[in-house]
Amino acid sequence: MDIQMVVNGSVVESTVSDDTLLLDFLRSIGCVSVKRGCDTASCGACTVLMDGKPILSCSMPIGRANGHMIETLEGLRDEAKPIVPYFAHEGADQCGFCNPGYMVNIIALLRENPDPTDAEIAHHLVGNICRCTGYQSHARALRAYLNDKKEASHEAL
Amino acid sequence: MIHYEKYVRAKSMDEAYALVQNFDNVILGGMLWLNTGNAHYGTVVDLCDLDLDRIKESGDCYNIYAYVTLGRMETDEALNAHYSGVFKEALSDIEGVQLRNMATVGGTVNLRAGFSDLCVVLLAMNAQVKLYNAGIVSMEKFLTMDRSRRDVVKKIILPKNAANTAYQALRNSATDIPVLNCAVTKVKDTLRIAVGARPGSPVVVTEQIGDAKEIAEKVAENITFGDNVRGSAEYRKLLCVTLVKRAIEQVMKEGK
Ligand SMILES: Cc1cc2nc3c(=O)[nH]c(=O)nc-3n(C[C@H](O)[C@H](O)[C@H](O)COP(=O)(O)OP(=O)(O)OC[C@H]3O[C@@H](n4cnc5c(N)ncnc54)[C@H](O)[C@@H]3O)c2cc1C
Ligand code: FES
Ligand code: FES
Repeated sequence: MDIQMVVNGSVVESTVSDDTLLLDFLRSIGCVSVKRGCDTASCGACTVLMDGKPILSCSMPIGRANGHMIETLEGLRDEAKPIVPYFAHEGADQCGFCNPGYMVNIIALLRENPDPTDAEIAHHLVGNICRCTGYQSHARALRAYLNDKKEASHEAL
Repeated sequence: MIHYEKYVRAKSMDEAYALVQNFDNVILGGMLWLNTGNAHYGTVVDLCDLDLDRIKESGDCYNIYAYVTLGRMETDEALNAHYSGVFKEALSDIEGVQLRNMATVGGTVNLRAGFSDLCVVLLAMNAQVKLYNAGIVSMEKFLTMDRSRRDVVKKIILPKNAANTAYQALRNSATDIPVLNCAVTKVKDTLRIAVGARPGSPVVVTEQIGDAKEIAEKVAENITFGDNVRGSAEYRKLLCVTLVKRAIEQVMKEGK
């Protein structure tokens, strides 16, 4: 089938087999931040934004994504950049496999709710699985980032 | 992972219905459950162009069309205001936000999973399912209908008089499917009590209001439970008493 969609701000046209999954298509055009972790909608490693909403690209048929706007971590670098040092500092990335999915879902959360509580963060990120860290480091990293951001904005006043 | 030869966006319900009379073909909801299997289909039929992602209030009911996502039901303000937040309570612990942004009401209802957090609430509410061919049937009847007869779920119909509904569940861990779930709807002096994840299909019983613990014990006594990796029948029976009692206490409180 012929498809056309906007990926990270650029129009992409292609011809693919009907049962292509969005995940495989994105990787085939170089968006390799998108990872296949489980293939059963259970891990969140394949998270991308479709029309601004976080979804699982491993379970999205390409035909349905056709005509929509997709964002992967490659296109969200500027929003991710300020958070990354906090992840590194708190040890929230070890093998790193889960990180792109986490980062995309964190960006979705902060766009919707720029000042989430710890409970809201935990609830929003529950669908992202990390085999290495035990989750506390993600929670600490995000809390430290949000606190520093708040402090910086108070100082600027 | 799902495999198929052809992807079709249906232009009408007629076309979708006709296509799925061939057992090689299948309707796509959010495709999440379908994608957990390894089946090979001829044509997958997408209903995304049929304006089915709507919630419409009309007279004495809310119509929830088949492509409304569980995430939308969880966050829809009007719906949750009317039903005292029961959809937020029942749906917000299903996996992650990404899955709930994709899983559909139509796919969930059609799947009729024993553990379904939505189905148990719909059953307590005495909701109806509108099928394209068979017309309107109660959720109770739909759960026992012959699954070999293919139809298309168009919408579910929530009666407004089910506003006072409470949901309770226990999960072994966040994102796991429930060990047991239940929902209770109070209409005047009558309680509709639905219990799911037994682990079989959810069942519903009707009781008059009274002592919450006594009613919960009676319900647990009259329902059959089974064993699976999440819990034993014995454990489920004990859980049932506690969860049903809590849900009854919730609906008995003013405003709930
Ligand atoms: C990892 C995982 C964890 C889950 N955890 C929970 C949980 O804790 N609690 C819970 O309640 N649920 C849970 N679910 C189930 C989920 O909430 C959905 O109910 C399920 O995925 C089906 O919805 P879907 O839209 O993906 O349907 P699909 O997978 O697309 O379809 C399911 C079936 O219904 C058919 N179908 C789809 N739409 C229609 C229609 N309109 N008319 C007729 N037939 C149709 C399909 O052909 C298919 O046979 C989980 C699912 C997954 C994958
Ligand atoms: S690969 Fe998509 S959820 Fe795991
Ligand atoms: S850092 Fe290895 S899976 Fe998360």
